[in-house]
Amino acid sequence: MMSANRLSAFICLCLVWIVVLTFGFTNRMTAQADGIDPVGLHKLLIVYSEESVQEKAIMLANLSGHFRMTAEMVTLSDMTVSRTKEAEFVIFISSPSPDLRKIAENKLRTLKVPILWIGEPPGGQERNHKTLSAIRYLFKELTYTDRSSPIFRLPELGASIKPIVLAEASDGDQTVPLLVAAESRWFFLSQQLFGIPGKILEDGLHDFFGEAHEERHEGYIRIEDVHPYVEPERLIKIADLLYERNIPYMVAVIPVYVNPKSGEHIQMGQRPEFVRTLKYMADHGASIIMHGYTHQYRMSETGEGFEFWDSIQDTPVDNEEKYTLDKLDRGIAVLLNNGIIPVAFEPPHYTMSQDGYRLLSRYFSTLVAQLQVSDRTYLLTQQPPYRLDSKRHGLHVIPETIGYVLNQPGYPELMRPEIDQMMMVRDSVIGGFFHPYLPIEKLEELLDILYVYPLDYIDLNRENNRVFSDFAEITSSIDGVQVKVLDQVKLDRLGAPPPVVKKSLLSDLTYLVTWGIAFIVLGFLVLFVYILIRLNRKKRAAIFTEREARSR
Amino acid sequence: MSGNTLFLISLFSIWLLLLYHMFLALGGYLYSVWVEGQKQHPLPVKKQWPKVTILIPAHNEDIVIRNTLESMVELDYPKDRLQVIVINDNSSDRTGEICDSFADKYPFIQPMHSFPPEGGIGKSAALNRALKHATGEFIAVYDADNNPEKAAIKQLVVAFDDQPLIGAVVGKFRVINARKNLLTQFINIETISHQWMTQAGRWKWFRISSIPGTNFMIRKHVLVQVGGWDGEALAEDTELSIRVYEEGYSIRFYPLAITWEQEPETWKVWFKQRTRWARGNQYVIIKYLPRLLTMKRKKMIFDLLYYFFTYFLFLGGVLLSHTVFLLSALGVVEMTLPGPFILIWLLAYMLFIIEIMITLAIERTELTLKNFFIVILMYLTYSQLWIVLVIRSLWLHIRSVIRREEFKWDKTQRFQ
Repeated sequence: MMSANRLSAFICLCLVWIVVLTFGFTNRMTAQADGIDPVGLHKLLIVYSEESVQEKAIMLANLSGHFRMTAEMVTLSDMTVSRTKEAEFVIFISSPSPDLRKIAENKLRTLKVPILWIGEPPGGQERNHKTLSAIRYLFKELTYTDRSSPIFRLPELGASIKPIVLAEASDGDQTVPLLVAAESRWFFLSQQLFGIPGKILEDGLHDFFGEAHEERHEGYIRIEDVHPYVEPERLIKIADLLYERNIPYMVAVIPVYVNPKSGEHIQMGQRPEFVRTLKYMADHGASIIMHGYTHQYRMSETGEGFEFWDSIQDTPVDNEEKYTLDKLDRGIAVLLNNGIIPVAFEPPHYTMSQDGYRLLSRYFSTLVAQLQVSDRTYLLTQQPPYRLDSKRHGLHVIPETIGYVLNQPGYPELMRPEIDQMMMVRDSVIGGFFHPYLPIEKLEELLDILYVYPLDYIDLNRENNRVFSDFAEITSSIDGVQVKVLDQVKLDRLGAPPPVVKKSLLSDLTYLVTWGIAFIVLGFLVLFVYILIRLNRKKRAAIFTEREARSR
Repeated sequence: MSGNTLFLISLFSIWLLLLYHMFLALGGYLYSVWVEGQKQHPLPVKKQWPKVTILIPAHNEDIVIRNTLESMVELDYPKDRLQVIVINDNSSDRTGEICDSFADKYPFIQPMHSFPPEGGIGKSAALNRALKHATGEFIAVYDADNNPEKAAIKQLVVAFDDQPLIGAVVGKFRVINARKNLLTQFINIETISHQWMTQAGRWKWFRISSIPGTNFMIRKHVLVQVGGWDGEALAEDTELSIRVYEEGYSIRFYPLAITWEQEPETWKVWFKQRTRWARGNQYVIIKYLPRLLTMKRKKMIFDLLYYFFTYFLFLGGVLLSHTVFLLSALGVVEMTLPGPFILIWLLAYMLFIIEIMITLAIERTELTLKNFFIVILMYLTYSQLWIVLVIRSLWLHIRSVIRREEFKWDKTQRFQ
């Protein structure tokens, strides 16, 4: 039976918990609310013709996060007058089906707001070019070549309307419009959202939404997969190079290395030199990004495996919420406990479920990554060209856009076309990453290549970022990075290096005794086998007496 | 208690006995080497063989008693120095008749018919009654299903070796119906390894062995001194052994005196017989454990502890180990101890097989490939039944204490 004393202690404890939980919760609520302030935002309605193009709608919703928009998605069949009433902009994702297009045309006709029609235009869907392997795009007085894809014919607009052609495509024979503004009706006459046409659309959205951002480009270099077994000397060389060139950069740190063979976890705290090196980097221009907790799932190796997505089954991880929160808690705690202060997050392989992003936003305000579009598969990732606020997830996204330096001849020179493409888009981010195991000359070359582009390098530590947890809060701003510890005990508990398995007397004894037994028994087994062989030999030689004695 | 502690306890209880048996197996082999040497010498020629009384308790044994008595007639022992008392104890079949017909022909065979109230109480009581009529200097006991070899009595006598402190000599028994079925093959293997490991092994290392129910010889004055058989004991032999040691005598295992015995051919009969034995041994433990520290012969303490370990600790260890395995598989308890557990489990199995193969090899005819496979099978089947058996006998004991039941002589059923 519980004594009265104990009971009151128990109740007290419960109350403390309630307070802590509520406090933690409100803390997180503010985190989530950050950047989703709907005041002053325009309402965008994205209508998609059918389920099969839902991913395109999601991608456009993501892109709208670059603008002062809140996006809502709806299928054509669910589109009702009440849902369209408040919309200030409409984007329609078209379909090969003439029937669906007809319905869309009728439903959209009455709307007075700007409508961007993407893909097969109303009416016919004749293609405007012969099938060729490549196609040339004419955009802002420059020409870009890309793989061929269908370009549809601009529909009849009526004589009074003077369309403005923002981009054209040419098969070398004839030149046709690709992106057209016809008063409030806009047409993007391709289904292609990747490659050059995608960039044209992404840039064109500025005009469609009427937000003329300034022509300005940002850049960043991210040092990738920096885990406790990365050689400190290489990291120091990298830091020195970038510091010397006055380039702020990012370091994607994995706090725990898992050896797939032994299952052993090596936490950064167990590698003091590694921690010292990270501090050195932080003092020399680095902003720290948490790149997962172990960057592996189940028994895969750190740096190789996925962590927040089950890539084998192509599904979210089991028990996702608890798993994700636990990993984030631990990751932040380990970093902080070692004096390394993360200001943003990058999921391993850029894979995370939609719920995963929402869970992440309880901890991090900023994501430095590409975006997994849906939970259907991890194979479809979106590479936005510019920063955006993903209102659905509550995250500020700084995209990676130019890939990484491959360990192959020709790199990083081969990254130049990617950079050029990104420069097509207004206020794009030129972000790429570099693995520290590569020769540092490759990084030097990349910096030389980037030097000719007018880039402002992102210094994450001097931007507004927030990292929240029950035990600590990190904020960064123009004044630098601040850490406020809320619960030192919890921070220590989660961030402490794994206890060196203390060899208790019991386990020592067991170990000794079992091995002792094994050796003694093995010795006897050998002896017994020898005896058995001897007896068997004797059996053949000797005369058998017992049965003889019995035969009467 | 954590899974670790439970696991350790079971581990130690099991391995204590396994290692002890390993040690005994080695002793058994060493003793067999000595016995082989003994075989080369012919039996000594004695001017005057001592007078021997053979006691054969028989209760409804008409299937087997004729063979047994024929073996008595054929014994290579001067018949004028031999007295065979067949105790026809309350038989309702033709046992008495057969005994009488032998008595008519051979004067050294003396039937003793007994009926309730004094008869039909049990084996110990029958033996005690016959003892009063025994004239021999040595008393030998055979079960009614035994066929001793011709030289058996001479070998037993020789084994006393004129050493007055050897109070009793135990011969070896072999299974006559070993090839009958799988069960008798199991029993055959079991009896051979039991005798070469626990009997010969203990004799070799500690000069201890136990009197079995049959094929042993004891000095009459020793038997009288210890007060005969204990009528309460279901395993009258084990119990008698302890008292013999307590009086300062030792019991010698001498495998050159051989008898052939019939073993149960059905599982039901086997199960009943073994339950009785297990209960008998438990009775001994319960009777002597309280007086353990006051016992005169220290090595008996050791031997009793061995029985105690076998019936309680080993059983507990095995049960605990099964439980811990199950619980940890279900995730109820957690085991985090380091060690080569799978390796030592495998070693235990290998040890079991090879120990038995060695004892079989001593018996020349038994080292066969077939027996090897039977041994492998035995570990997984026959040996596991032992757990059921011991638990059942413990339960029966507890029940009988609660109900204040009396012990009954549960005779083993014979086969044609």
